[in-house]
Amino acid sequence: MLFPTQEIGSISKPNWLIKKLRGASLKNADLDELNYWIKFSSFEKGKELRDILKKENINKEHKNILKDLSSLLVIRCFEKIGLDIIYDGEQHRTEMYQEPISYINGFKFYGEVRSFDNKYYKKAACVKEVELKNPYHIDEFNYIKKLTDKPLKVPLTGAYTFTNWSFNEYFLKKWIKKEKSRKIAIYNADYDLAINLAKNVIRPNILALIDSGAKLIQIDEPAATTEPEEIEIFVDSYNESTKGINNCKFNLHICYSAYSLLYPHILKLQNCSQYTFEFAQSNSYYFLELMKKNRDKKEIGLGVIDSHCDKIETPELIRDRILRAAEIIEPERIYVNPDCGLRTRSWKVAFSKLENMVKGVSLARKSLT
Amino acid sequence: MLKCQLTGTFARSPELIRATRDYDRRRLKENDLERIREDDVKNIIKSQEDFQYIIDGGFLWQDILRPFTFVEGIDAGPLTRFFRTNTFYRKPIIKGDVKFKSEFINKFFYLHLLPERSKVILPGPVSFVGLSYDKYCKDTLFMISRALNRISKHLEEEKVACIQFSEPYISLTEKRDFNLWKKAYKILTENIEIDTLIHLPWGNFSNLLGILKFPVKSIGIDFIETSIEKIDFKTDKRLGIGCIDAQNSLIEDTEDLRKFLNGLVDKLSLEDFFICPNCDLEFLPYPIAIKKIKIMREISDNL
Repeated sequence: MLFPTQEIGSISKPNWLIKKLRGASLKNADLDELNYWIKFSSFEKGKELRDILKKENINKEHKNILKDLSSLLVIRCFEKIGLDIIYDGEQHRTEMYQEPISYINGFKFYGEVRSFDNKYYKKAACVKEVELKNPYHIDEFNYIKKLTDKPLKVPLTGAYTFTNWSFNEYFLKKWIKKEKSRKIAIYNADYDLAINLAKNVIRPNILALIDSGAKLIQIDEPAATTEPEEIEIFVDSYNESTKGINNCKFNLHICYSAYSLLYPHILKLQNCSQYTFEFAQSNSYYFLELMKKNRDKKEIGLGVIDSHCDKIETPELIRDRILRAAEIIEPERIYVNPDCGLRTRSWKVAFSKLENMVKGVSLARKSLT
Repeated sequence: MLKCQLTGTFARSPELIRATRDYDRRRLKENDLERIREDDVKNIIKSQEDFQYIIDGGFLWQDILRPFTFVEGIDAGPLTRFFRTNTFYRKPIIKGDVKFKSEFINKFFYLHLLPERSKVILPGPVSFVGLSYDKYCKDTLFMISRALNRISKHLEEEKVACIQFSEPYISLTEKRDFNLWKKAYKILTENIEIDTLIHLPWGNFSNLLGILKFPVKSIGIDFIETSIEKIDFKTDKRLGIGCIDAQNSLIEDTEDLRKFLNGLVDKLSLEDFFICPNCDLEFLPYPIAIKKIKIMREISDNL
């Protein structure tokens, strides 16, 4: 089947979940929204969910059940929409950086820094050697795998993005003693941190996920091109993370980046089946030309939905985006997905976009047969 | 007075971050947010009280170009990565002649709270155009330079003592046209009498020596990117020495910094200079940004 559809990762947490976890009271509108999605997806645990939401005070166990049910509801919505490859919209996770860092020894949080506008993230500093305390996302995966027959794609933040999004005190302190040039010291320090993270954190975590049954892992590396001089660090740390692992497929997701900087470095990626990139917002079709020019035969996860605007793309627009890509590379190598996780959109917007994505794929398939 | 200046947006305090978040979620009223933001402004002003120039922290700027996306002729475009950071800005779309009343800029500064030695930070014209989609496609660089000149004149009338033009794009683009940029800066600084500073975050200055001929009174150089071994020039301009790393929480060793600064001052025979961060301190969490200011003060005291 041409153009398998997939999601990227995060879907926003619904109001009923956020408010209940915080101990705030729910409004009718929150419950109306919940009821809409229960009906939409023929959700089988609507009563159980509503019963917990009715309770005045909920304990930790109830909170965990709510997260589980939110995860299940997202899965049912994905199934109803007809996505081929899914996960759970990361309903168990807070985000892709801070939470995994809490499973790693060697980091310390100092406070928040701005991502954009009034959005912030907690940024950690590496202050000593890094090591994995416990593999993370394992309980989440073990829960999700029982809920659906659809193929699952587990999103996992990569070693270089952790490096780039953290302050690197420990390795920089070592290198500024040895190296006169601050710039070279920073490069060497980042190299050491990324490789240490790959060896001591990401790789054991990947192996633990595979032990639990994961067959497809999406390595998220949004920072891959942030420092053009460090792209080879990203490549080396990716290879170190996935070296010799042949019982799992690996996709690489990079968003909001200058993809032209990736060549020739990414030709050295040793265990990567697919580039899952953003095309809708940034019109990055030049990357497909680069793939062709470089005889790079990987699959492409074609971002056809802008994750940062509420405008719902029409099925026809999505069809045209797919067909445009199919004129450059073989249709058999094209998967279809949003540009990035849809966590900044409401469920109404996110699921409407995904519904049209599936319809657009259907139109594209018809056009080619 | 200490030979120190801040050269970019400052980190917001945890209280202000919480307040902006609450405001976005409609849990806080605008007046309450404003009160908390003004506290941050007053604190950051106080922390610079013996600095050469004093900024208001840029807490009203969502990014270096956002205020200009509200003027006629420019729209706010997609969220775009801001150079080598994990921070994003709205890419302006320049679609026609830019029209505005210069007073509009006042609402993005706390001019009434700033003391006499006030400095305001504007985007330089090269970065403005380089970071935008240019759908105007005429003499966009010169049009933007003229627009920024009008704003600068207005700010001069408002008794601002120094205007900084931030130019990260000059630092990072490989297509350098110093002659064209110099013409833009002539337009930009025409009839501006107060101090002007061009700041070059993330720039390796050994590739940017053409800037020395620009009609500005000071140049801010990123000495995290620039190697002291690779530069040698003479200038009568005031030099901003960006040796405080605003992208790493590691606090600088004062002895190492003192040696570096003395070496640099000797090598370039510098007479007029100031210490500054290499880029905006907003890339650090608030407590670390405050520590970096303390380090600047300590170093400057011992020079």
